[in-house]
Parts: sequence; structure tokens; C-alpha cells
Amino acid sequence: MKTRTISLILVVVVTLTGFAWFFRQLSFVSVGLAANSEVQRALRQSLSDQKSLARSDPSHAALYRQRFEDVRLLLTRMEILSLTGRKLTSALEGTLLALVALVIASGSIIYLIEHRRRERRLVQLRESLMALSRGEPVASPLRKRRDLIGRIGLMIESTSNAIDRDRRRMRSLEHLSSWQEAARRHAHEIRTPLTAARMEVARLLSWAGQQLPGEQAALASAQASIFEELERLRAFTTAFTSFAMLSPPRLVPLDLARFLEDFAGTFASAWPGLRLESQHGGERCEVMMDANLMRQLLVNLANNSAQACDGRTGLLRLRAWREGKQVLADVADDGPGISASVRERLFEPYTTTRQIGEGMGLGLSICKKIMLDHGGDLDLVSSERGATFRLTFPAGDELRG
Amino acid sequence: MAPAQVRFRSAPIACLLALLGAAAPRGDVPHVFARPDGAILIRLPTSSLTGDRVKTQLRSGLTTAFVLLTKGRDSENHERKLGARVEIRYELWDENYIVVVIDGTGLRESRTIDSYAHLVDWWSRSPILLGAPSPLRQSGAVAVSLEMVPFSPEEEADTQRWLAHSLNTSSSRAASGQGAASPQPSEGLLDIIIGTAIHRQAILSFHWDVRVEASPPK
Repeated sequence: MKTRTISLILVVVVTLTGFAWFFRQLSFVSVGLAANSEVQRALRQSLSDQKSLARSDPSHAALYRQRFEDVRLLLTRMEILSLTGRKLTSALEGTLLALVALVIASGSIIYLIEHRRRERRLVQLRESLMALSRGEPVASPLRKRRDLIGRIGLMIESTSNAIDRDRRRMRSLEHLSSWQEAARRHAHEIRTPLTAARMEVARLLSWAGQQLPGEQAALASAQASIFEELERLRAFTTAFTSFAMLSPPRLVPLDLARFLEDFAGTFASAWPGLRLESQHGGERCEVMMDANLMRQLLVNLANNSAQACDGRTGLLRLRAWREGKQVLADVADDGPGISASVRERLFEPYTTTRQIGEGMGLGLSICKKIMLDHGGDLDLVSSERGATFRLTFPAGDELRG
Repeated sequence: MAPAQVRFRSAPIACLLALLGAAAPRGDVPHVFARPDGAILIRLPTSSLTGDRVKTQLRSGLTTAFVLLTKGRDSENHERKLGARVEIRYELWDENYIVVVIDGTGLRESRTIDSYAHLVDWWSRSPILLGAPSPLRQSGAVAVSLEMVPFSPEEEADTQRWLAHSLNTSSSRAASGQGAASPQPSEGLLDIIIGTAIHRQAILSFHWDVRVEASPPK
């Protein structure tokens, strides 16, 4: 900083001195020419000549007198210029020197201000990088200016956002994975004794039928009742299994917008009272996805919307669009929406607003897991009415590089 | 009597006139005196007109003004200032001097003098009226200053106009590459510089400290 300031002062001093010297040469020449003594001598000679001519040629005396007066006027001006020449030169020099000094000073001030601002921004950049290294969110104030530092700040902020997004995805994945493991174990622990119990009940009822031939009808009724309950228990474990054994997606490039349009057409009459509407703007939204899993996800969301309508007529809008390096899709219904009390744990397994026995609350967790397995995410976004789920995919062409 | 104090505008002239001043006769000072009718007059010393610088200036053809200022005290010890002006222009065609005296009462008197010798003679013999009746105390101390201004306001204005016009015309020509003159943004600044630089200012001045004399000097 000190070296730079000294250099700047040196440049200013050398420039001003050089300019002053150069202009002194120029101004002395210009003013000196006007007040040159030889010029004055020539003019005086001219005055003398006009007088001599007037004496020798009296008929043209008036003409010579007029010429005399013209030269005299010029001589008067030259005389005044010789008397004030030095002051005039100094004034011209001073003015131009002041102008140059002003220009240099303005330039220097602008440079210094810019330098200080740059230093401040570099400090902010360093703080952003440190925040990034600590894993804290970065909202860079540097983005206001689109210079190099501003662009670096923007990159740091984008990186921070990406890291934050990935961290949230990882957390959700780990969370859901632990739930999946628990579900898998529960299903296994239930399914084994369930199968044994079913076999034992069948054997017991068969033995009882041989021992009590007159009670065949009562035994058949008891068997049907026990098997019905065991079947409910089996269905319960099957739901557990479907959540626990979600297959990894087999990704292929697909146009999501077109996929949503096809889905809306294919499943148009799947939910009585729920109308599906695809808003396809013609934009190609290519993503890498598993069509079967995505269909399962959309069916789950549509199921929820249809049940939320509770007998009323509802509308489910499907829309996909591209935004930067992402492809987004909204699945929005016009139902009663989701209450604030369940929003925070909406995607956790076994979260449901339905009566006990009407659902396990695994649908949205499965949807979330499907999206996370696609490298994207599923979120509930705020909307004026109803519930809007946003599906976020990395754009297919970005993934393919 | 205090010696004359002479202030010069340039070092070479100062040296030259210092030598001349040294050669000037002692007692070559102005006489401020009262007339019997109560008017106060001043007679300027010959030396103030005979220096080479003054002679050269008088022969230049410019209107040279001698501005006279006296400072004294009245009977109530209040400072009083009295002034007069003498303008001399050498007429180059007729080769004579046109002298205009504006005395302390504002009266303007013009005369033509045919030679430098006669001009010096007139200068040494003709007192200039400073005021009537005299506001100054008898035998009181008076500070006299005489300044030589090399050209008149009219000549100054004419030269400013001429130079501004010449420079603007030449800069316009240089800018357009043709003879047509058009207004330039720098003209205003140039006019200010010219107006500031070409400005009437005394190039020579004399200072004396004298006393008011009761009668005209012999």
C-alpha cells in the first residue's frame, strides 16, 4: 500500500513537472512571438515610412494616415502584450497545470477509492470462503457488482447453495434409509411368525374338525375370521416391505413435460372426481429418470389429492419447466391444503392425517426417497390454495455432461 | 525629509533605476504646499519623469497614467487622502505629447506639449491641485505615492478583445481545419485568463514622506 502510494505520488509529480516544462516552452514561444521586439521594430519602421510617404505624397496623405493609425493600433497592442506577456504566460500555465492536476487528482482519487473498495471486497470474499469451509450458508454481498470479484462471490454462493442442497438431501436419505431398515426388520420379524401362525392355525382347525365333526360350520367361520385378520397383518407387512425394498432407479433420458402429459392422459379417469390437467408449454425438459418409479410417485401424490378432496370435485395440475441447470415440476391440487402442524414432518414415514387403519403414512416418504434417488428432491411449496409439491431434477443434459 | 522609496516591477529595471536614483540630486522630492487662498498643491520632482524606464514608456505611444496619492492628517488628526492623475500620450504622427491632468477636485485640463524637454519643464514647474480648501494640517507629515500605469482602460479593453479574437479564431481554424470561426468551449476560460492577465497595473512607483509647506517652493 505504501509503495503504491509513493509510486502514485511520484507519477503525479513527474507528470506535472513534465507538463509544466513542456508548456513553458510552448507558451513562451506563442506569447513571445506576439511581443517580439523585431516585430515591434518593424511596425515602428512602418509608422515612420507612412509619415515619410505622407510628406512626399501629400495628395494621399489621408490614406497614409489611415494606414499609420492601423499600424499604431497594432503596435499599441504589441506594447501591452510585451508588458503583460509574462503574467499572461503564467496565467495560461497555471490554468492548464491546474486542469492537469485536477485530472490527475481525480484519477488518483478514483483509483484509491476503487482500490479500497476492492480490498474490502477481497476481505468479504475471504470471509465467504471461510464460511464455505465451515459449511455455513453463504449469502454473498459481492454479487451486486459483476466484476471478477463479484463473479467469484457468486460462484462461492452457488457452491454453498449446492453443498447445502446436497447436505439436506444426504440427511433425508440417511433418515429415510434408517426408516427403511427399521421397516425391513419389522416386516421380516412379523412375516416369519405370521406364516408359522397361519400354518399352525390351519393344522389346529383341521385337527379340531376331525375331533368335533358336529362343529364343522363353527370351525369354518372361526377359520375365516382368523385368516381375515392374518391377511390384514400380511397387507401391513407388505406395505412395510414396499417402503423397505424400494428398488434403485433405472435412469434413462426422458422428456418430463411429455411424461406428465402422457400421465395425465393415461390416468384421466383413475380417480373419480379428480381432473388431471397437464400444462405443457412445448419446452423440452429432459431428465434422467425411471418411468415406473416416477409413475408410482405421481400416483401417490394423486391418491393424496383425491383423498383430500373428500368427495368433492378437484383439479390436479401438472407442469414442468426448465430453470438454469435444473428441471422443475409442480404437482398442484386445489384441495384444502396441508395443515401447518404436519408440514415440518410431512416426508417422515408414518406421518398421516387419516384415521388409524386407513393408511400407514408411507406414501410421501416413498415419493421423497424416489426423488432423492434420482439426484433431485421433493418439497412442499407455498401456494395460495391447495397443496403444491415441487419435484426438482438435475437437467438431463447437465448430467450427461 | 525621508528619502524617496521606489518600488519596481522587475529586477533589471530595479537595478537600473536604483543606479539612476543614486545619481539623482539630493532633495529631489515633491513639494506639497498651501496657497494663500487655502488650496493645497503638489509639485512633482523632475526625477520622476526622467528615468530611462519612464522615458521609454512615454515614447511607446501608449497612454501612460501617473496616479498620485497623498495621505495626511487634518486638524482633527483624521487621516485624509487626496489624489490626482496625469495622463501622457505621445502622439506618434504629430510627435508631440498630449497631457491630461485630472486634479484633486475632478477638474480636467488638457494640453499639448511639443517635446520631451518641454514636458519635463512643465512637469517640474506646474503644481497640481490636490484640494481646495486644504483638508491637511499645516506642516503636517504627508505620504506621497506616485504610480506609473502603462496603458489606459480603453487600450486594455481593446487589446483583450483583439487577443481573445485572434486566439479564438486561430483555435477554431485549427479545430475545423478551415477558416470559419465557430464558438469553442474553451473561449470562456480563455477570456477569463486574458481578462485577468492583461490588466492595468503600476509598473513603477515612487514613495516620499514630506511635510506640508506653508508657501510655494522657490
